[in-house]
Amino acid sequence: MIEIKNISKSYIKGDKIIDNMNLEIKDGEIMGFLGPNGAGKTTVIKMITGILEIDSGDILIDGDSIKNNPYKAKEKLGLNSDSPDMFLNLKGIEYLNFIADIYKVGTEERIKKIKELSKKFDMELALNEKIESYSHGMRQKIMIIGVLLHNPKNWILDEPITGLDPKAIYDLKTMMREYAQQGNVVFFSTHILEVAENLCDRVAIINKGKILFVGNINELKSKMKENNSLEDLFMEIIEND
Amino acid sequence: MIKNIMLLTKSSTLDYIKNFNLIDKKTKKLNKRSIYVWMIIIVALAMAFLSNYILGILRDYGQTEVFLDNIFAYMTLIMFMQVIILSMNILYFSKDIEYFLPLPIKPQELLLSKTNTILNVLYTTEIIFMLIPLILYGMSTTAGFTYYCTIFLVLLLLPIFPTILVSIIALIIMKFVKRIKNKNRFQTMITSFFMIIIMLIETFLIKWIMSDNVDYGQIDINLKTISQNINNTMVIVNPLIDILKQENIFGNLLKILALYIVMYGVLIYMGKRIYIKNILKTNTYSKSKSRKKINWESKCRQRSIIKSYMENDLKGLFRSAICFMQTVYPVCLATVMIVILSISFKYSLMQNNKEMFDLLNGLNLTIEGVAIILGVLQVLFSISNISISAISRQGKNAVFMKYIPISLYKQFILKNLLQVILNTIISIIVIVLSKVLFPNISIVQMLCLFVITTVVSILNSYLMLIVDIKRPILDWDTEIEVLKQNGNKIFQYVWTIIVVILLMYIAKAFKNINLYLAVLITFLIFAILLFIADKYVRVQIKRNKLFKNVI
Repeated sequence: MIEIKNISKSYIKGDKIIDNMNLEIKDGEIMGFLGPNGAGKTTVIKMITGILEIDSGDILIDGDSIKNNPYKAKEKLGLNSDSPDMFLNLKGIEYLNFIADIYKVGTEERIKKIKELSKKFDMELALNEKIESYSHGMRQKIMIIGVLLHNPKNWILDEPITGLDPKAIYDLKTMMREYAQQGNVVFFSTHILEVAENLCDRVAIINKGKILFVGNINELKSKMKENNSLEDLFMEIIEND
Repeated sequence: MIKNIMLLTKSSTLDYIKNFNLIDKKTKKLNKRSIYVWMIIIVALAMAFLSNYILGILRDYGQTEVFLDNIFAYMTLIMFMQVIILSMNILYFSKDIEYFLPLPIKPQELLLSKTNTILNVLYTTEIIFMLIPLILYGMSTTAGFTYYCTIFLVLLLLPIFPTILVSIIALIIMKFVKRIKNKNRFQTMITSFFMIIIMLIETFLIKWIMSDNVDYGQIDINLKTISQNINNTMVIVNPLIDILKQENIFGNLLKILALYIVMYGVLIYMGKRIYIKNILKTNTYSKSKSRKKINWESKCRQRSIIKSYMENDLKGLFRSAICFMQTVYPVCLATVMIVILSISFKYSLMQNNKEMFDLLNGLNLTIEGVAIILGVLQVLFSISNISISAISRQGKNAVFMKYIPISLYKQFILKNLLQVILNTIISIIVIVLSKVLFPNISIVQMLCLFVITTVVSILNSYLMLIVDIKRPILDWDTEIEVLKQNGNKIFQYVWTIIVVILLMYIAKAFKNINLYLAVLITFLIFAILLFIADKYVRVQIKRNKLFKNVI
């Protein structure tokens, strides 16, 4: 479970990028994080994962504070950042092994997982090549495999759909659903509203550092004009802000 | 054409200068709050002090002119090495080439903008290391106004020769390369090939000078012979020195300009015909695929976090040719050169000057000797850029450090290890070399030296890593931005100057006390500094401040 409690963040004094935000993502839930460009989605994800310091408030990962007990909290997290252009000098298999070592995944378990996930994402033949030679989509896939190697209780994805082919999007959505059904948290930011509509148990809409709405699509529809698409509802909320 | 070249050059140059934050945007005056301004002032003062010191000695011998010969000889050699290390990467392998290829830019325009990027790096080297010494030389020889005007002309012209020459050679080499299977290995091999040639030439020169009937007691004659022989091999150096000495200014200027027109002509002609074709050969690498089977049991064995972390850092360093050549290569090269020069010097003394040879063999280690060895090692440590670029080299990967479950302090220590290991190897080589040169140094003294150099090396690595973590360059398109155009390097120069001055003071202050006591005090000074640096790191990490800019 991820508990975001009254967090605020500002880069320039007095100009809050995230303003007293509260949010709770329960175990077994897929939550979509929606908002226009510059709304603060990536900033929140960076604070949850310990990349950015929290000015005030706290974030708890399964009860452990990312501020006060960061290493314990980070063990329960897996992050797919918005840029998959990482570790380009390593071969796919080297990268996966490195991640498995960092998260102390045993030899047998990692072999089983790598085989299983690379087959699922059609990456088996590319594992022995440098990530540098991968396409954008392949880089996304290898990063996703890397994150899932240690079975994090909380899986966070920043714009995960970008660059993936339709089959990979389908596979990823299925995997996210399966992962949540196992009692884990899946929290992802996206611009693609259809994905959020079809996949999420709940969505959180953020604009100018404030949460404007948290709930499922039906609640959102009943709150706003009924029978609208998520796109219409999203625009209505953002414009009303 | 000129407009496009200027545009391409301007964008890279402005980016470069912007990093230093030298001018205050509001007042348009010198930014006194920029740490780089103060660092540049410190380096300038140190260069002034050093130049003044050397000029004073040469004046006593009545050989002030030797200063000019020497500074040009060694700077030209340094520039050649810099160009050799940079050229292949900037011309063929930098990432921004991919962005430029689809643009409607002519091959010769792209090529000239790339050579201008190399020139920018060399001009910075000149400003740091040559400008102040040349001004001081003018003051010491009471040169007229024309001398100061010609300084800028000479500094403008000097780097063009190595840049264009090496670029033409690089074009020719690439013309004969069919396909590059591994661009990193290729760059390292070509650079090594260039370097071996340079080293062979140098060794040949040294041998030639040593075998000459030189009186080793006359330092001035020796220095003059070495520098003049180097300058004679570089076509433009002597005419440039003559311009500074105001001997036939226009004649020499015309000679150089004519040479440059021919060189640029050749470069543009060749660039037009083969540059883009050459670049396209380098892009085939990413498309080649080797579908080898994975040996799961050996490849996927679980390792300790430390081993895995270190191995990953090591792969990052050695698999990127430009990183390797900018961080490990120069210090290895400098160490090899020191070893070759020292041993050939001692060997030639044994052959030609028995008296001097016996004098060296009879010398005992003093605190001055310790200070000199530590000073040489500190200079060697400063050539290696592993720590000062440890975070920046990783670019977008750097943020990974912050979300993995390993304490930042532990990662800080791990990031230091590669630099410390390399420094330790260099220390051992230099200490053993000292023993070869001065056989009276005992094993205990060698051990003492090793302990102090280890502390100095760790301290140097710690400080440079702190600088890189505090001021990382993470958003880059070319590795050159991280390493060669990295303003943080000035911190390394300043620290080296501080250490050298401290060692000079130690040598003077503890001259008359017992050697081992003096060594112990020296050790304690550096150990206390290291303790303070470590404490600072711990406190900063605890307050979430050290890695604040790694995002």
